Amino acid sequence: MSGVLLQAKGVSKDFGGLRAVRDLNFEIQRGEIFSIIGPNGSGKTTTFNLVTGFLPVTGGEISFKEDRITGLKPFQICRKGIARTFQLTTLFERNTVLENLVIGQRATRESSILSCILGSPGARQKEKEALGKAHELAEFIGLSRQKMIPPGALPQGAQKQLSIGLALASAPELLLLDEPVGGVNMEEIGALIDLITRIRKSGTTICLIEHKMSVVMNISDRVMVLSYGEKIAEGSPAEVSQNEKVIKSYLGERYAASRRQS
Amino acid sequence: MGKKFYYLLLILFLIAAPLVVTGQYPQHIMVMCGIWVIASLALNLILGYTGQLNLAHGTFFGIGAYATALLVQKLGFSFWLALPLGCAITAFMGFLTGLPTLRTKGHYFPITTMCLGIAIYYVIARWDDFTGGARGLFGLPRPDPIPLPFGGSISFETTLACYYLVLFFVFLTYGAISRLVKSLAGRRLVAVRGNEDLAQSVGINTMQSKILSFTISTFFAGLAGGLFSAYMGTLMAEQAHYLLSFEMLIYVMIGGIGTMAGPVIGGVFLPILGEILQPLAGFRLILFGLLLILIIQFLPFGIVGGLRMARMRRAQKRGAS
Repeated sequence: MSGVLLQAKGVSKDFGGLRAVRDLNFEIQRGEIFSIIGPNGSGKTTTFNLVTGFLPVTGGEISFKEDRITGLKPFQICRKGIARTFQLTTLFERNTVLENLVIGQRATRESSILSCILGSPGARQKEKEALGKAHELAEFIGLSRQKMIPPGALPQGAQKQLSIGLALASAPELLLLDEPVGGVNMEEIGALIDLITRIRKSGTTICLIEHKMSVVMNISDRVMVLSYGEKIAEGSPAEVSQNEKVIKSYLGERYAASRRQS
Repeated sequence: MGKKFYYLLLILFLIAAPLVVTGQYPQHIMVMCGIWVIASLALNLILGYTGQLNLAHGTFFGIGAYATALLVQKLGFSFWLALPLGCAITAFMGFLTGLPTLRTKGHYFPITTMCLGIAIYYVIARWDDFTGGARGLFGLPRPDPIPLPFGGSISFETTLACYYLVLFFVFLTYGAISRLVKSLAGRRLVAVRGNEDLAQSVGINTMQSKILSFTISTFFAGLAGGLFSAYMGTLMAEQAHYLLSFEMLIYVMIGGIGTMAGPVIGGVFLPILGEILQPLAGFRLILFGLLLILIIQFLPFGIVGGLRMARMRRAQKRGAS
């Protein structure tokens, strides 16, 4: 199934006098891997926060499956089918890996407190199912042997895998990954890329922010480049990497000029 | 299986305890311990499991006590109707308080709840016509006897009978809260304690979770208060004093915050320790302060947390050798 999954129209965000995102327009197609790149401070994470409702937009409109989502709270946006990870890996530290994967599920937010206190058969059944699903998820993200330990005891790469698993637990249609391979070693990067491609294969659309160009250029279908809160380029990885403006913003005016001459 | 066996043993011990400890005074202390355990379990739900430091918990205890007592005394309700109504009134007050205060983040929630506690205390202490003011309420009857189907009835005139009454409600409270925090719905609360933003990002309505936890917590605080009023027979504004919140906080912290056994241990042993140290008068507060500092420094998760750490270390040693 193809078509537009998420659409941003004229989105901007001011922090006091600072315009962090300026008149941003973009679309994410169903089933693709869409990457957002750009120098530090170019508004990538701010864009994520605007899409997921963690920050209110100053102007513009974002719609998901043709439904307006601007103005909704983060938990409401998640319920519509958009999940995210955070740049600084955040997990429920005082719970085990498996419990993290249970908390993320729809059943957790829908269970009634009263039926849980009374221990109704329906509540028990739901709990069993959620636990079963968590085991499957642990398998899928490659942490089936670490299910019972707290996330703090996992290496950095595995924590990233778990944070993706936690977001996946809510069964999203669109998954936003904020620097999924940031700060992990080469070996761990391999496992994460493998995970991301498997998620896409299972039918989930992915939008990611990443600094490692080798990763972005290899796995993305389309790339959007931001600089000072504005879109300066968009297209296939090959197109974007040849774009004059992109080279300038990443490598500076002089490099771009020398490249023109040669 | 082992764990269930110990639970059963503990329950049998609690039921048999007053048959061994027969004195009027020790039995009175046991009733009071039961009431503190209920209140501490309730505080632990919002504080330990949901991560919100409510400094008006003692006030809700007082609201429950006054609501139950006034329903019995002024409206002539039976205790068995007044008690659940008193709990419901307390929970409703908790709900109303939670709506604005739980929106605050960081230190503001403890500060606002403490201010509220102080304000309500003065309302109770000064409203002579309604609450009896500083003099308080007198001559509250014990719970009405429960008629038995085969004749006779259970009366609550003796301390022993009140002990079993309170023990029943301790079991009820413990059962309800432990079931809740271990269930799927309870995981919402634990998620809020862990990280509110992360909880929101997986679709949890954090505000609703906090309000639910707060309402349930105040419901059981009201239960403890209602039992207290009927057992003591008198109520004074001191029973809604804001310092009471800190006492319950100490029970939870020393017993073990965020654990089921913690408030039980804290609510049983600290009041007993207080009674033993009675001859020291004001000095025992210094001792309590010292104890609290030591616990926070060396056992941040209280006695229960300390025991768990010791057990984990032992298991690690066994694994290593």
